[in-house]
Amino acid sequence: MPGSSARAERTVTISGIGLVTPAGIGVEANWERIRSGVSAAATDPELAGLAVDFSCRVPGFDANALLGRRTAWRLDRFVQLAIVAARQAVADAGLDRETWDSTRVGVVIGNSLGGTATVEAQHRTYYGGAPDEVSALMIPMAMVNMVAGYVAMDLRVHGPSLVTATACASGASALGVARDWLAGGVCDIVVAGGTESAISPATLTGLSRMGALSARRDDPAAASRPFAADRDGFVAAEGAGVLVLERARDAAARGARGYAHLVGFGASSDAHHATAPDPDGTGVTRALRTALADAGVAPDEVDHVNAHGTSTPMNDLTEARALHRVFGSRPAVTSTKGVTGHTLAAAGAVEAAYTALALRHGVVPPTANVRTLDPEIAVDVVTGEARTKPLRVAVSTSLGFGGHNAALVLTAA
Amino acid sequence: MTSPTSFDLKARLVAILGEKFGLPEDEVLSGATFDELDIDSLVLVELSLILRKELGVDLAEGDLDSSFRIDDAVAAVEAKRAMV
Repeated sequence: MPGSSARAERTVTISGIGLVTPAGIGVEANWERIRSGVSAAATDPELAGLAVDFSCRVPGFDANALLGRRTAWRLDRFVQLAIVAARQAVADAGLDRETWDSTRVGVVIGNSLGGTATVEAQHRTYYGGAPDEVSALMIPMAMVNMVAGYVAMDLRVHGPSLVTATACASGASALGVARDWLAGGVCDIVVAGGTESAISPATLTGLSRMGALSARRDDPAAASRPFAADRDGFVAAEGAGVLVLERARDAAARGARGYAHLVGFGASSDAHHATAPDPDGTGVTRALRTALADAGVAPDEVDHVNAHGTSTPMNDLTEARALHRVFGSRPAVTSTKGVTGHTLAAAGAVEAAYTALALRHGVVPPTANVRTLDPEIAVDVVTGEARTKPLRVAVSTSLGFGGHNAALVLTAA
Repeated sequence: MTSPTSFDLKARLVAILGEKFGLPEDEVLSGATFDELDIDSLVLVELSLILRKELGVDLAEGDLDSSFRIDDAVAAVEAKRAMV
């Protein structure tokens, strides 16, 4: 088949996964929670008194215990989460940090909002009349790029490092960049993912004022219900997902089987509106078709889609239209945001990890909290229990404010 | 109010470095430089702010240096106090 060897050169293996999400810390805790379909949303004491006072936090995340107080205090939480996930991913891949060529290891991490808790606290100090008490660490703690810099420092790697900022598609964009670095010979190993921790009061209020958030204060655990007829918005979440990627032949040569292969990436822009998706789903359709063409995969080969599925009225309808247009109703579609809420810039990476785990286990996790499916949604949404079926090819989609669309195509390892 | 002795001041500084920056007492007392303790120029700005708030000592930029050991920092704070 023409182009197949070139395509094989572009195939990369997901050889390690690190997850620090509302579903838990570590791959096993995450997969257990995701396949059970139990939501992580709960009333959030830090949001007391706000119109939306619930969120999905990482349970039991103790940065001092995981990173040491000496390191933890000078990092905003979005960086702390990413470093822990990156360490997990590298350990999981079985790579030896003492012997790898650190100049050939890259870092690319998606982030959107940076250190909002740091910025909010320091702005309070400044506007409270004490500019001479503003921290000298505010800027390095808050800048979005610092997560890639700090992960590189923590792992002591010296290849390129980069932060992708395509809002809620940032994590998926990072994996696309990582694949290109590997395919282009820029790196031999890429530590790629996404992170976000922006559940600070003023930032959350901004999201709330947009009408993007679910208002189900009386029942937070049931608030994130992607594709449900009565969905009313997303639940803000924090988390990080980091994957180790290597060219498939390199991974095979060192005996690493990996979780799955990343075989295709596609991206597009709606060029339509700041925050609303193009209602026809034209942009996400283009991203999907580009990713399939890149992978050399036909739409009817796709068994499973981990959808962006945020639980907002607009996203889920738009996305379902695009999925139906491209795939019909064949693939088993799920949105794991019913469990995790919306981890924003982390979502694309976290969900690529869940997609890889679904392929490995032959299990499509359920979309939580869906009692009645939106009748306008024609795709096969998995609800209730996880569905066990052989999976060979799967797709993960991401859509971001700004009209950024991204799709990843994965195959079983 | 009597001002603390240098012994008290050293203990106070060690406690602050532990509490705020997570630095173990034995490491601070080992004779390591601030640089070796990851106290860089940005953290020195934080430390000056903390010392102003907690000890009422107004250190200028340059009064503390990342080449200092704990005893140098104690001496710098004492010198500043003597000027008040």
